[in-house]
Amino acid sequence: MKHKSAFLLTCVVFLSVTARPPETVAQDDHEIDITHLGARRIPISLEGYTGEVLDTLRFDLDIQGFEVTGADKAQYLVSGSNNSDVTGRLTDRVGKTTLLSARYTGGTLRSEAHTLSDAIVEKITGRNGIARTKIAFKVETGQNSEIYVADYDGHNAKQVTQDHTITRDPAWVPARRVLYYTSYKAGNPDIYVHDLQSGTRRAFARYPGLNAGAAPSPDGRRVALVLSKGGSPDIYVCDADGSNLKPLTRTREAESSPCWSPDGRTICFSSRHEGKSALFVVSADGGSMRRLSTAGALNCTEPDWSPDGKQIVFTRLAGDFEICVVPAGGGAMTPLVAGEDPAWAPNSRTVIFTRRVKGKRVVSLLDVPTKQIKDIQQTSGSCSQPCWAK
Amino acid sequence: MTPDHNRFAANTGYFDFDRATIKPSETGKIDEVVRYLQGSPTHAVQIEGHCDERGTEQYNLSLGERRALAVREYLVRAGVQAERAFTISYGESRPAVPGHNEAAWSKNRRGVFVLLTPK
Repeated sequence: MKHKSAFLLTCVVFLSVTARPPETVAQDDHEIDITHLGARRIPISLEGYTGEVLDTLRFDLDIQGFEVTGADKAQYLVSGSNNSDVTGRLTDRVGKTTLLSARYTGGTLRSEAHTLSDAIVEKITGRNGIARTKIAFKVETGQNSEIYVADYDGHNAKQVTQDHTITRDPAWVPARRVLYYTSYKAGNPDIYVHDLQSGTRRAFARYPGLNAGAAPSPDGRRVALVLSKGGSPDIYVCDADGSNLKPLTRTREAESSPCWSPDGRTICFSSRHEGKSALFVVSADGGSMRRLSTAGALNCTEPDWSPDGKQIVFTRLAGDFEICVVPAGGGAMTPLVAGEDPAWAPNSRTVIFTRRVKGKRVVSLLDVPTKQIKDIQQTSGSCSQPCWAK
Repeated sequence: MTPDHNRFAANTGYFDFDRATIKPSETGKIDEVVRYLQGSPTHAVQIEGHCDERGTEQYNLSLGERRALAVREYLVRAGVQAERAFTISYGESRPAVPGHNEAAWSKNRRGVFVLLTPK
């Protein structure tokens, strides 16, 4: 989902000349399989920026496959200013062609810098930038936790709940400013649906026992969730109004973390059905559950299906927690970095996840092909369970 | 119902890592709760399921619930009416003991009884 700010951000493109297609390397980078690790970062230089704008541009580019470097080593040059508005001119250093020249007005310098970085990413790679997307996460302070939303880099964080209890498991409804989450406010873990636009919320699932892990379908019309009312934590699916509730699993073991395939037909989740935690898939309409092969990984939990449908990212426990990806059809898994609870960005390339640092949790971003990691701006407390608005 | 967190403080049952089965060493403590409930027919219990920090957060919430349900199943098999035993999972969010070692973890993988008496 694009950033929807209260102000009007206008972009005046003075000139956009693409004399020839972007550099071959950039094209290759765009087309590689994202599990092809060790992808080369694209060197790019920034001239004329200072302070917050420079920091913002550098962060945005570093986490999207670029390496901000000196002009002598750069393949692309960005020059501009941030005196009152952010301006930028993007040049291909070898071809000496101007790919983009723009002035951004009407927003904060930070939002204008994000808009410029998105334009650069799109011009060079053909991918949508992620700099104006939103995230939600849980912030724990003491025994309680609350839900927050923020820009993708953790800035402009805003507290959504004030329940003064355990509030957790945030999940965005695609393309809408609506969150599902679990709160213990009424003395039981119940699921609520919260409209961020109007600030109103309602109880969504309040069955006896556990109500957790709500995951809206890609079209927003259905919700997968974990309920224990049948005697064990099982995966269920229901309509967005709570009707047509139907169990998808009926095991004696614990299921958790349902997520949807982008076509809305399949749900992937974690279960101990065969003795150890593993990933399983089941049709969203019901049927038998099937183990998803994650060759090389045991103790797999917290799957998240990439928006392009190709990959499933998950957490494995192998001594410590590790983020891994596997093709959506199953197969050999690829370990990425230490961490847990991964969630894809809309670009199917960047992943947001949690790291444990000195007994605390911090939320970080991972550019999967280049394995670049950056911590987001942390909200005070222990931050975890990040999810990305799509 | 009024919750009493102290009445069964000595009856907390502990679990093995990543398991939700009740160990033979723990049944004596649960049997005491069964006897109490049989002698106090208007009272009920809430069973809290807890985990150590070595599981992922959503997984631990389900595991904690599975542990609480395993204790509830034990009570029901011993003759306690199912409607007198409620479950609630806290996952890893309410550890009994801070710390990041087995000494702490073994105390945090637990099922806790809260006595519920009529108001």
